[in-house]
Amino acid sequence: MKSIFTLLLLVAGLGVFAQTTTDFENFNIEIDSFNNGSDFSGGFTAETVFFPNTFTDFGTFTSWGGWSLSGITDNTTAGFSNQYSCISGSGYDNSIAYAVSFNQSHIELINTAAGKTADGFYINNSTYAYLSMLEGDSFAKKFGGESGDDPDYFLLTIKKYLDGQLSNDSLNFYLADFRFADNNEDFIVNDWTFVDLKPLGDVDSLSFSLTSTDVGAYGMNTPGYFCMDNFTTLDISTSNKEILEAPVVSAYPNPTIDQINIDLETATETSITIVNLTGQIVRNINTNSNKILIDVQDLNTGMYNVIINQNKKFYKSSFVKL
Amino acid sequence: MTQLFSFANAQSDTIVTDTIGINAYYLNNSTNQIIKTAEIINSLSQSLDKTLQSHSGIFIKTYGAGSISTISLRGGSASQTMISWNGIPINNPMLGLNDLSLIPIHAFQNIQIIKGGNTAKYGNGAMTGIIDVSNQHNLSQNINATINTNYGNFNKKSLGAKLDINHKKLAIQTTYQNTISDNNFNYKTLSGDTKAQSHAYFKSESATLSAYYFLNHRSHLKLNYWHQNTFRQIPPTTVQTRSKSDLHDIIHRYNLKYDFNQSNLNIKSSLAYLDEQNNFRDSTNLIFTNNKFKSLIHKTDFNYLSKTNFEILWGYNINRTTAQTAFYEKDQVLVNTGLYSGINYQHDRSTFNLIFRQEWHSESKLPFAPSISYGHELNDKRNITFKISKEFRAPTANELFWRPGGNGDLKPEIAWSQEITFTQKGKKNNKLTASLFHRKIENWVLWTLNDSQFYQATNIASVRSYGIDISNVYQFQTSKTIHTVIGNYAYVIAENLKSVSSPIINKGSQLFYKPKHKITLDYTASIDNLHFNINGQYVSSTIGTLGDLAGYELLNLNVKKSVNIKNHNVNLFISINNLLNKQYRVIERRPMPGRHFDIGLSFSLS
Repeated sequence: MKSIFTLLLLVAGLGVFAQTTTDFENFNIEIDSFNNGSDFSGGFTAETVFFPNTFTDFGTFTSWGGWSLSGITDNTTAGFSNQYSCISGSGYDNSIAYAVSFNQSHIELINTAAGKTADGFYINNSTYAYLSMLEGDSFAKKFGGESGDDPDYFLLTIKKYLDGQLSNDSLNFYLADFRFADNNEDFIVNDWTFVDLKPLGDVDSLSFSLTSTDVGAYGMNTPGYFCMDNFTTLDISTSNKEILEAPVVSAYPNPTIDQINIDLETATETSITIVNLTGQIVRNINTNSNKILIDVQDLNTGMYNVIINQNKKFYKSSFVKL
Repeated sequence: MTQLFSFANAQSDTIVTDTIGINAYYLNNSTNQIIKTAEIINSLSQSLDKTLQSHSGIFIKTYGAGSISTISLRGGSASQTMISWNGIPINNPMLGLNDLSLIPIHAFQNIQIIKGGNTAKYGNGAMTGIIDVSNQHNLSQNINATINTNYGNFNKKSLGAKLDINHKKLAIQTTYQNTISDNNFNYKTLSGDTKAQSHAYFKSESATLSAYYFLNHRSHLKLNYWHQNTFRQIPPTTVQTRSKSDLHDIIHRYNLKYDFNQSNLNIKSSLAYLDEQNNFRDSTNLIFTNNKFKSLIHKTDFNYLSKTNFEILWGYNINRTTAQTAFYEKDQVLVNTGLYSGINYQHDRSTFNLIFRQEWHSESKLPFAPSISYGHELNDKRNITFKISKEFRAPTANELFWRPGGNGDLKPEIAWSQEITFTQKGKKNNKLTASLFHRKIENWVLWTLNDSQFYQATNIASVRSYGIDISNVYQFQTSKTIHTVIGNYAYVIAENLKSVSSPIINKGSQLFYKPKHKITLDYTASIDNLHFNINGQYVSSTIGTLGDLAGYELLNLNVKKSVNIKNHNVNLFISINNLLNKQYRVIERRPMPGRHFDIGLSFSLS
């Protein structure tokens, strides 16, 4: 039988969101160091999010783009040489590690977060961009211009991709805004600030682009950097999606003591997530088989939901652990 | 029949000129202008950029008082015009250009401007023309010592000395000048507030030597040396709180020249050595570029005049440059050799000129460059010339090797140039010159954003330039007053023929920092030893990389009084620059000074 669920209904049924927070601390970035992808790994995976980067070694110089991990604390030195620094001098909540985005960047939600809703992240200006907007540099203007009245802004636009399609939905966040009639209200962000991504709904990936009013024939003059920390995924869908139930999927025995069998109609790339009633993800399994045996001996007694993602189609089942 | 084939550089009894147009043909048939620095009232306080800005139709792109200034001749880029010193090209081979603010004109007697493509005759880089500064010697037997000083606003102070020793076969000129300035002028912001320029200190010390030795009535040697040490802070932009950048240029230039001059044969041969460095520091962005180069240049020109109105031209040049910077993978060596040959032929009132040049460059395949022109004397006063030539410019060392962005696959910029020049000569020095020109440059090198998100030199642009140059000198006398009026007008269209995405250049748009109109009008009244000069300039609006720049009009007032006391000569000049206190900018975010004064005094002892 086929029925339609919204994630809100699902969440209502589950009672609470599942979520995973990426705070970059487990990369063991040391204070005043950074990792800009010079290991040619192509990016770094932090829990449920993949942060791609590019690094090119031209022999006498290198270039990078995308994401860098950073523990830089120098938030007073202006200019390009301090490009990996956040203006707060630390990560969110005085943590060591944070991520720095340069140029056009994007992230991919993976594992339990893939195709699901992201909660949000904390954002801050890089030291390079902040001091450039505050004081100007050889290439870029100080915001407000010569009079202080120029209606300048530095804007981050976040767009989402879902099912391989670029959505029309986007979010804007002003890293600096000098458009206020009262110049006292003008601001350049220099504290970690939460960006709520839930309005975007489910996403596969997010793209980040920066625009500035300080632009010329050579493009944006304002340094194209921002910092991120504590990216949180809900690991659950909030969009209208077809949630299909049995008989396509069967989970047995139900109730069970030590293991649960899941039979799928087809053998294909499948992601299986088991979530308890508090929303906590207790299992996450990727498989290509249509018959899966999952050991649940260590689970607490209670009811569990099984969310199965096959080619962006979601199936739901449930079982009781005795 | 006019005496076409007289050598302009022939030695006269006392005056030895050294303009680079080595035969009369070029002096007559190029859009040629010679500025005598002695006739510029405030030459002690002038650099070449200011002189060209106020006395020619050439546009000078300047970043402000004491800052870098580069040339744009007939819509070209700075690297497409050859800047030369006594005939030796001194364009920086790494950058391709020369900073005209670092050429003090008082050290030279002549500034020669040859407009239009002249690659076939002068070689790589003379695509849009040539600016040459040169020394002129006086073989009269005397010793003349001059000390000079001048002061100006913004704590400008300059102290210099000049010693001329002329004895029989030897003529030596030496100059020394030390100039400092804070350049801390006030300027109006776009919102009308007044701000002061800061971090703009300028200090320059220059020494030149030009020695002429008369070997015999057919030949002479000439040795030139030019040292200059310039330090300048780079001020913040109008939208920058502070700057920590500075620039330090150190140059040593040597040139030994041999000149043989017979009735029908002229040989000029030069051996020059340039040792220069340009050090940029930006302690904010931790950018330190210590750029050095050494160039060895040898060139020889032969002119042979047959008895049948033929003049045969032949010459070669060899340039070897070693360029060094941390931004190159290694020290780079550029070798450029060239060979040209040509003829001048005159029949009745018509002249015909044909030159072929082939150059070889270690990093770039250069094209065969012919030049053909035909001139006709309409009457004793009027002359018209048609010229078609192929031009080229080899990529500079930075365009080839700089990391990131240097591109070893660059092709040379190549152009076909056409021009028609009409000249009318009147009494005395009166002369009207008008040129229509057209030039299309392919493979124009631009630094564009590549897939790896850094700027790379690419042959991406195609540019058509056309327009008109008019220059008029009119001199007349009323009672004891000699009036001289010099006017210049340049109309230049320099349009992109292809669209470029980064930088954003739309097809058909005017190039950045190329005004369509420039006018200069210069009036001098001379009564005995009193000279009064007023100089006006108009530059139309330009398109900048950050937006449009408004046009501007400038008015300068100069007065000079000379007094002779028992063979001692005292000169006093006063200049009021930007008399109308015009607030203007040549480049966005870089203010220019308003009204300011210069006062100078020189004392000569003979």
